Amino acid sequence: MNLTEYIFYFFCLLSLAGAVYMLFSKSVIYSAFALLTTLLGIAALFVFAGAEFLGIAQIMIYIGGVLVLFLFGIMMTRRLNSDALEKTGNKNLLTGIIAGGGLFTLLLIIILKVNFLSLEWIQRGSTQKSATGVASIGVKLMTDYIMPFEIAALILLLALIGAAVIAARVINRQS
Amino acid sequence: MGIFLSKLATTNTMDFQIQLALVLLLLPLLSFAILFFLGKYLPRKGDITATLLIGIATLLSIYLFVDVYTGYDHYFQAEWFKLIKPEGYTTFTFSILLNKVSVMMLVVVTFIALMVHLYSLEYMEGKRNYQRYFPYLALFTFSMLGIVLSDNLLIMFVFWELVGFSSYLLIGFWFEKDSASQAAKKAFLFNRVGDFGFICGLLILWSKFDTLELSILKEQLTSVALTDPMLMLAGIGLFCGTLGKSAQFPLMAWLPDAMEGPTPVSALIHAATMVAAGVYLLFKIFFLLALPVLDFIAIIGALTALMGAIAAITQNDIKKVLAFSTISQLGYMVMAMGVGAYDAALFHLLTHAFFKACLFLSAGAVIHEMHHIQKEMFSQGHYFEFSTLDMRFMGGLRKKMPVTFMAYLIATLSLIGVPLFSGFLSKDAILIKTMDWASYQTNPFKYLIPAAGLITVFITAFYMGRQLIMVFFGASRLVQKYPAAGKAFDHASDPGIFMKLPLLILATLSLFPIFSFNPFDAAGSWFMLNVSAPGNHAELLFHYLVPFATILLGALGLFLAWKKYAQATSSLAEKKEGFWYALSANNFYQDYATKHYIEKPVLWMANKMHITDQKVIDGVLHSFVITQVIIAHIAAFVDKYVIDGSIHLLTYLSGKVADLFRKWQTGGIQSYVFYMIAAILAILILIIKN
Amino acid sequence: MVLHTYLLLAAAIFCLGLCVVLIKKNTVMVLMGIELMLNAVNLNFIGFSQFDQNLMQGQFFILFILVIAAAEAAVGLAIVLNLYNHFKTADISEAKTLQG
Repeated sequence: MNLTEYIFYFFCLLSLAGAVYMLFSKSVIYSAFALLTTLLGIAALFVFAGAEFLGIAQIMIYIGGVLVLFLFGIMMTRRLNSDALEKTGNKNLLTGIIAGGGLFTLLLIIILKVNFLSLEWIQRGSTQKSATGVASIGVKLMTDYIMPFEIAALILLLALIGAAVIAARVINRQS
Repeated sequence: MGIFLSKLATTNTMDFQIQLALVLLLLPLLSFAILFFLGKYLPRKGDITATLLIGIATLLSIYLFVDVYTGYDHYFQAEWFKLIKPEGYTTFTFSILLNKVSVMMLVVVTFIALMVHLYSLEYMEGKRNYQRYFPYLALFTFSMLGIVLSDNLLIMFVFWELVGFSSYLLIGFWFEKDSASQAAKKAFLFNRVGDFGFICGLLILWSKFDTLELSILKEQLTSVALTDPMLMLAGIGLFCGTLGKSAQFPLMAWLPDAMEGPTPVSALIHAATMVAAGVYLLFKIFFLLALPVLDFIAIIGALTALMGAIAAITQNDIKKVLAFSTISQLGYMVMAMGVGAYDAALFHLLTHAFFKACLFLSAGAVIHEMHHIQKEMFSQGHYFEFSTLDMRFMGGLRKKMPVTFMAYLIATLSLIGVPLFSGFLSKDAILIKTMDWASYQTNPFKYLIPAAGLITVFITAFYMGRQLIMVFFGASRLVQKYPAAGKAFDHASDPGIFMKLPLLILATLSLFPIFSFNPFDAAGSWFMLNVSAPGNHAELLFHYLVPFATILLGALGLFLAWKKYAQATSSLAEKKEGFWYALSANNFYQDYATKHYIEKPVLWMANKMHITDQKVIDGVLHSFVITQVIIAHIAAFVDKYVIDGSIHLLTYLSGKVADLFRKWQTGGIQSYVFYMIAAILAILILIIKN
Repeated sequence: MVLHTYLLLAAAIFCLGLCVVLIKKNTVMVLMGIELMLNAVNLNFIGFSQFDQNLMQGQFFILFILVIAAAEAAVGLAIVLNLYNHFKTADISEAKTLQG
C-alpha cells in the first residue's frame, strides 16, 4: 500500500463517515455539513478515477450551489423558537433499516458474486491509458453528446422558471 | 186454443170436452193473473171480475158434469218431454181425465169457490190487503182444479204442492199477526212432511214401472202382485201425502191452527176442497193398494175420526170446533177408503163439502156479527176485551140471526147424521160398508173400526149440539157478563145478501132430496149407482142395524148436550180439571209433543252443528291465517337476518378489507418510498433467484 | 482504482441515503438524502467509467446527472418552502392530507 491508496481509502472513509453522520445526527445543520464532507470525498474519488473535470464540477455545483441552497432552505423552514432539532422516529427507523439493510445485502451479494473482469470492455479498458482532459470533454459535448446537452439546458431553464414561480408564490404569500 | 194445443204431440186427439176442461182449468189462472198484476187499478180491486170468472168456470164444470154423466169418459194424453236412458227413452207425459168422479170434484171445487167468492164480497169488505185476497183464492182454485183433472201422478204432485203453497198464502193472509204467519208455516211444513212420503212413493213407482201415468200403471199392475213389498211401500208413501193434506193422525196438528185465516178461506180450503184432495188421491191410486196397506189406512182413518171428535168437545173457539170436526169427518172418509168403500168415501166427501162449507160460512156470519157488536160497544165507550170467536161470549143469537141459525141448524143436523139430511145418507153408507167389511174379516179386532165410527157419531152429536146451544140458544152470555153490551147486542142482525145467499144455497144442498129420493138409503142414490165399489154387498141386517144405531147415538148425544148446556145457561159449568178434559183441550198434546220431541232436538242438533261448523270452518280459516302469519314472520326473519345479513356481511367484509388497505395510504411520502423499495427488493430477489 | 471498492462504497452510500430518506422527519433532510443517493449513483458510474477512456460515457452521464440533480434540488426546495407555508412546519409526516 502506497500513499495514493491510503489517501484513496481515506477519502472513501470520509464519504462514508459523512453519510453515517447524516443518518444519526439530530441536527439538520450538522447533517448539511456532513453532506458537505461526503460530497467532498466523492469529488476526490472522482479525481482518483481520472475525471478531474467532474470532480471540480461536483465541488462547484453541489457544494457551491446545491448545498448553499439547502442551507437557505433550512434557514427558511425552521421555527423561530426552536433550532431545527429533530428526533428520529422508532417506527421509521425499523423501515429504514429493513429497506436499507435489505438493499445493501442484496447489492453486496451481487457485487461480490459478479466477476466484472469477465466483461470484455472492462478487460480492454483496464490496459488503456486515460486520455481525459477538459478539452476532450468539451469536444465530445459539442459533437457526440450535443442532444443531451441541449436538453439539459432546457431542463435548467425550466427548473429556473419553475423554482422562480413557486418561490414567487411563496414570497407573495409571505408578504 | 185448439190450434195451439194441436201442435203438441198427442197420442189421441183432444176432443171438445177436454178443451173445455182446459179452459176451465185456466180460467182461475187468468183471474189470478189479472187480479194480481192489475188488481190495484180495477174498481173494487177486481173482486167482481174474479167472481164472474169463477161463475163461468162453475157453469162450465156443470156442463161437463152433465156431459160425462149422460155420455162417456174423456181422456187425453200428450208427451211432455223425453229423457234418454241407456236403452231407449223415458217419456214423461201429462194427461187429463174426465170421468164421473173427476167431474163431480170439478163441480164441488168450482161451486164452493163461487160461494166463497160471493160470501167474501161482503165478509172481507174493508179488510186490509183486499187486493190480494181474490188473486190468492183464484190461484188456489186453479191448483185444485189441476189436481182434479190430472191423471198423471207427477203433474198431480205439482198441483198438489201449488195447493199447499196457496193455502200457505191464504192462511197467513193477515201475516202481520204473528200467530197467523206461524200457522201458515206450520200448515206448510206439516204438508211438506207428508209430501216427503208422497215423493218416496212416486220414486218407487217410477223406478219400477218407468212411468207415472195412472192409466199405464193400471195396465201394468196386472202383471205384478199387489203385495210386492216395494209396491206396498209406494202405497204407504202416497198415503203419507194424504196424511199431510187431509190432516190424518200424525200430521193433524196444523188444521186447528189454520183457522187463523179468514173464515171464507177456511170454508173453501179446510172444509171442502184442499183437505178433500187427500181423499181424492186415495181414490185415484186405489188400484195399487194392497190389503195390508188398506188395513193400515182404515186404522189411521178410524183413529183420526175418534181423536178429532174427542178434541172438539172442549174447544171454546167456534172455528176450532169446526176444524176438529173436519178432521173427524176426513177420518171417516179415509176409513171408508181403507175398508174398500171408495164410493161411500167420495159420497161423504161430496156431502161434507156442502154442509161443512155451510157451517163455516155461518160461523163466519156469527163472527162478523160479533165484530159489529164489539165495534159498537167500543164506539159507545165500553171497552170490554173479548175474542169474537169465543163461544163463551155468544148465545141467544137465534132470534137475532134467524137465517144464519136456520142454515146452521140444517148443516149441523146433516153433519150429525140425522135422517132427512144428506149427511145421514153418506155417513150411513160408510158405516154400513165398514161393518160389512169387518164382518168378513177373520180378525175379530177389525170390529173396532166400525165401533170407533159409531162412537164418533155419538161424540159428534154431542159437540155439535153443544156448539149450537152455546152459540144460538139461551141468553147472550156477553150481556150476562157485561150488561153494558146489551144495547149493542140488540142491534145484531142477519148479514147482507152476499153472505146470506151462499148460506141458503149450501144449506139447501145439505138436504136429502138432492142426492137420493129415499131419505134412508144411500144405495139408491144417483151417486152410489154411478160410482160403485166392488165388494161384498152388505147384509140386510146391517142395512137396518146401523142406521138405527146412528140415529140412537145421535139423539143420545144431542140430549146429553142439551142437558148439560141448555139447562146451565146461567153459567159455563164445565169441569176444567180431569184427564179427559185436558187431553181433549190440548188436542192430545200433539203440539206439545211436536215442540218437545221434534223441534227441540232438531234445534239443539242444528245449534251444535252450527257451533261445530263455526269452530271447524273458522278453525280452518284461523289455522290457515296463523300459518300464513307464521310464514310471514319466518320470511321476515329470513329477509332481515339472512338476506340482509349476507348483504351486511358483504359490506362489512369489503369495509374491513378496505380498512386493511386504507392503512397503507398513509399520505406520508416516506412510507410510499418504503413500499417502492420493498417492491424493488422483492423483484430483484426474484430475478436473482432465477 | 479498484472497481469493487467503488461499487461497494456506492452501494453503502446509496443505502445510507435511502435510510436517511425513510427515517428523517425534516423535509430538507429527505432532500439531502436524495442528493446522497444520486451521488452514490455517480460514484458507481465513475467506477465503471475508468475502463471506458474512449467514449467516456460514464463521465457524461455523471455530468448530466449533476445538472438534473441541481435542477431538481432547486425545484424541490421551492416545494419545501410551499409545504412549509401551508403546513407551518417542515415536518414531512404532517403533510398527510392525502391519507385515507
